[in-house]
Amino acid sequence: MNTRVLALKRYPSGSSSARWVLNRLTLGLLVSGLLLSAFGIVYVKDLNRRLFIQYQQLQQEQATAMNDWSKLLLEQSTWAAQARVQQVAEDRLGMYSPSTKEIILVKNVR
Amino acid sequence: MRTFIRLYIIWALLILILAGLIWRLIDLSVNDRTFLLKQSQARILRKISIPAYRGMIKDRLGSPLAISTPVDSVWINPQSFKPTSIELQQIATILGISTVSIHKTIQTSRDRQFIYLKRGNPPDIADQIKLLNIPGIYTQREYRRYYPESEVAAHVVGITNVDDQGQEGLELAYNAWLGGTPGLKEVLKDRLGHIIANLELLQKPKQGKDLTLSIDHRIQYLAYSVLKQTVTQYHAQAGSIVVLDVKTGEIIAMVNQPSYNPNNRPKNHDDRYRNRAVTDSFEPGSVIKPFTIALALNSGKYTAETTIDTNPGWMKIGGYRIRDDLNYGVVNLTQLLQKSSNIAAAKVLLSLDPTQYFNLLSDLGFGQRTESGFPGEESGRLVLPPKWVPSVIATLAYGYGISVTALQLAHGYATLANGGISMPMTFLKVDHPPEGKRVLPEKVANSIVKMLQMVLQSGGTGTQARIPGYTVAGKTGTAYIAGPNGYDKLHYMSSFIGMAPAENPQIVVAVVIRDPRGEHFGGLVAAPAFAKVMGGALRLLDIPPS
Repeated sequence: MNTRVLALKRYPSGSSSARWVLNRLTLGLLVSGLLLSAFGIVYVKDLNRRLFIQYQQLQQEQATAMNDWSKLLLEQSTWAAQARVQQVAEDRLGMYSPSTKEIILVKNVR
Repeated sequence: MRTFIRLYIIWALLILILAGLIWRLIDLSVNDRTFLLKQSQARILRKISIPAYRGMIKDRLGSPLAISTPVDSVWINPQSFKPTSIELQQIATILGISTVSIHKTIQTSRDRQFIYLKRGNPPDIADQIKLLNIPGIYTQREYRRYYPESEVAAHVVGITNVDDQGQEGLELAYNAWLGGTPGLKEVLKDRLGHIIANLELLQKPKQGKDLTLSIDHRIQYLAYSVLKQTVTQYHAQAGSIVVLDVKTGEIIAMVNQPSYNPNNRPKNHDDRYRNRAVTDSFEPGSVIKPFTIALALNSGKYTAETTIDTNPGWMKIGGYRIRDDLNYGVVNLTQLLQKSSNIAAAKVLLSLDPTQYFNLLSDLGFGQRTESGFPGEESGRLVLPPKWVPSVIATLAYGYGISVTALQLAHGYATLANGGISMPMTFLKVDHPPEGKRVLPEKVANSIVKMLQMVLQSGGTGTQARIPGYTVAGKTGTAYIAGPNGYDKLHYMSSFIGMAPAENPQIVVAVVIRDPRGEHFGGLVAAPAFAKVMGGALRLLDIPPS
């Protein structure tokens, strides 16, 4: 007989049900808003990570490209080295530096 | 009543469990906080270095003289490197070293965590090592310099050591400009090792900057091949050629023999490494005479036509006897230079104020460092006037008792060519030439250039220096080299220094050959080399014939 019963607080039956609906609606809206922003955070954070990984990959590509460029530059200078060009010109192509008699000077007449 | 006790007991147990959890929570958050934070950071925080590349060295046309290429150094952590014999053999084959040396490396570094196995491997070799997936072996990206022009520009460009720091030449002089400092940044790494966030830039990287030299690689190569051919032909001990731009003071070419290949440098750091044009000084001999004449003209006591009697072809002064090659009789100043008369030069200087000569030579750059920016410049020696007795003055007039470098000589002649204005020498490309300092009046400089043209005419000592199509002015020099017992008159410095085109000189070329055998006259040994280099340089620089 000493059982205490927690009584549910009941809205007074006299108030309008419209107000009850409005309150429930706002609650629902706020909760869904909360959920949306939570999902939004998750999405943006994930996007951040993905883009960052992409950025790192591009930076890596740039570093590789720079290395390739310097290697190609080196290769080009070796192929085009004066000593090599002279050797190829003389040995393979039979060329020589023309003497002054063989040079014709053309004056640029303006 | 019994039912209440059971309820209370359950409540108490639940509260105890809850209290236990809360206590654990507090314990973790407060007591073990630092330990756990450190553990977490150890797993996800990393400090990564941001690489900085060493700048390229280019010539004035933009072609590379020194380029950095990536190489990978292979290193091991002896604590975690425990390879099987098969793996060891694989590593040894790929790297090209013996298994014995790998064992030795591991033995000598048992208590260390880092030791290089082999530095400077091409990246594809390092990739093969990585594919083996052996624990404890890692690669580290480093950079190594390559020099496309090899021995042709070795003395000027210099070399770096294995840590990419300049050791010689311009690589050393401009090491701070060229070398970058790597930066440091703190990042978050995820479980797979990808970087997921940049937290903080701890140290900003300083990228190395490119260096553009005043050297023209085509003229450099031309000078090098001509010098090499000359030195080989006359079995000379050494030689240097310097090419200068008269108007801007830029060093267009500087070559020496002997040279070395900087890509595959010799084990011993021997005399091939010296940039002799800048570090070696010698007694110049007759090539100093134009400056004696400059003093004479400047003093007002002499003109180009003033005559001096050199009969009978020798002269006693102090306790010494000076002689000319022939008895030239009575010569004027032009003929003095043309035939290179020592007696006439001595008589001229003896009649002038020696302190003025000292000042002139100092103003022209002799006896001091050239300040071209090259490390290890030799200043040469110019003794102070109070020590000059008449015999010293006499020999000074024709180039003994003073020591100079090839660069200083070229600089002096460039001042004459530039109307008496001395321009500072530089190895870097110049866009806006600086002011320059007037050392001689324009008239004096111009008359000397005119006189020097006669040296190449018939009757002069420099006829072999002629260049078809161009007017040239210059001077020969054949100086004894002093040995430990004085001048043995068997070893000579043969030189020719000239400028072209004579009516408005643009370029100065100085050729100096040390101890040629067979021929020794500057007019025979150095003058033809000058003609080839100057002719080629004029053509390459599009300077129209006179």
